[in-house]
Amino acid sequence: MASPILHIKDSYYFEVPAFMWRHNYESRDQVPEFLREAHPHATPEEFNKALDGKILIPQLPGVSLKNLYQSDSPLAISKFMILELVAAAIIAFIFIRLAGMIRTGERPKGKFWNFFEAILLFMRDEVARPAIGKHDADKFLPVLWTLFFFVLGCNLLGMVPWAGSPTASFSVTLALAAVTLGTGMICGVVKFGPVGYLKNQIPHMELPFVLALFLKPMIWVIEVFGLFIKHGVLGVRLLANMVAGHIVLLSIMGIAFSVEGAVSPYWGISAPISVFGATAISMLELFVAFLQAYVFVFLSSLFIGAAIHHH
Amino acid sequence: MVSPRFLIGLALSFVMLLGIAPTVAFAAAAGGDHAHGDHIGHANADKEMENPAEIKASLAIWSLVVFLILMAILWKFAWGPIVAGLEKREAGIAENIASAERAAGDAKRMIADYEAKLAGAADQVRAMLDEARRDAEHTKEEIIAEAKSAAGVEHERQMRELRTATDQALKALSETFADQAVALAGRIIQEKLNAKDHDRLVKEAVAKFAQSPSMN
Repeated sequence: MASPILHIKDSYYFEVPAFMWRHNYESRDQVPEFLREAHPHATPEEFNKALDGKILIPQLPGVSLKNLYQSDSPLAISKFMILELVAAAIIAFIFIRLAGMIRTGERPKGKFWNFFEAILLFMRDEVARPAIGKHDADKFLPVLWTLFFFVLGCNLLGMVPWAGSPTASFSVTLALAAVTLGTGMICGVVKFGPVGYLKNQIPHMELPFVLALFLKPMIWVIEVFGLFIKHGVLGVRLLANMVAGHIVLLSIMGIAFSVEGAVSPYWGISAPISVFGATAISMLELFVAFLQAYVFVFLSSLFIGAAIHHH
Repeated sequence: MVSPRFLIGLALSFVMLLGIAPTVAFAAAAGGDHAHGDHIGHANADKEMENPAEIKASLAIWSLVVFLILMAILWKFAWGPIVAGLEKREAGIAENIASAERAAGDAKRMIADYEAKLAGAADQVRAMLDEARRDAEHTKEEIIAEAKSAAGVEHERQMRELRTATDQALKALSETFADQAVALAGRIIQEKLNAKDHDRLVKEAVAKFAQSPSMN
């Protein structure tokens, strides 16, 4: 069996139940080239069997894959790239429509739109303004709002059958953490100047001059390390939560789907239990999807707030 | 009580499991047959393939680009108008509250005005009533006084008439009485007195009678 990690990692195909997507290769020539080259001895039937339920993502001409999960080309289109676009499109659709409803100062009508407006206001009044300060917070709202809904969208896609969580990949979470770091750095430099921003990393301390001469450079180094670590952890936390949730789900569903289980007489008992368990964990995952999006944006606000204010 | 929808969902998922499990088992068994244990699609893998912490530069850059484009689009078409709309709404609400407070203040002032006016009206009514009562009292007294004076005058007149009538009656009576007395005395005295004595006696009697005041 392949590692379960492959189920939550980025790949170059979408996986659906086998009966929904059959491959009917009759000769090896119809099989994509990278697979043919990788498996010189496999028969068309073996390819069909292995690829049933796998919707290969069409690649740009000239882009070659190493296997279903890896490519040497930077232009290869992966599942998470498409899912990110889907999340972005859904978010753009929802909020451009919501903007059309409330731009005149009217209130949105209906639960659906009020739900999103409530989140926007919560992010503004309970997250951004307390963390950054009322005066500056509103400038950062577009970044924070986009971060929240993009993270939330990517998290929730993990709960959609046959999709997946882009936020279960470091490539995505660290890129988003870099957005926070970059925002803080740019705005800090704009506010204090490059030197001022760097000096601002040292907390204010009343030290005798001689002591300060030795301590302050060391503290500065620690603080600068800390700055990168904090933002790195922002990405790690999100990834860990998503990966952990999906692995737990996989393990529990694995009870129902394992080969040994399926042929054992107790499968009739273990399978329903695992379905129950997976349903319950899915509920938890839904909550975690929202919670981690909130935590990500909350911490981002704190970091941005720290970057643009004196310690 | 478990909802029927939940039970149907449970039954469906169980049926799906029953349908899928043998396929999975079969596929896994078929996979196991592979000579090198080499999964189709997993060839050429380096050790990064199963590393959950792998960082792919292409996906990272793509994520950043998608995020920034999304943010730019939303900034222009969603967040800007939404912030403007929210501010407009907040200003509207603040304006509504202010105007409601103004209206409440106006209403309070008007109530005070009307209460003062009402109180003034009551005073006015009281004054009017008092005046009316005073007028009525005055008129009553006038009427009574007039009646009294009229009655007094009438009484006076009647008394005068009465006195006149009494005087006349007395005069007539005294004349008659004198004549009768004279006649009577004459008859008595005719036998004893002569005419001289007779006249003198009459005159004295009449004078005495006239001097005596009316006793009525």
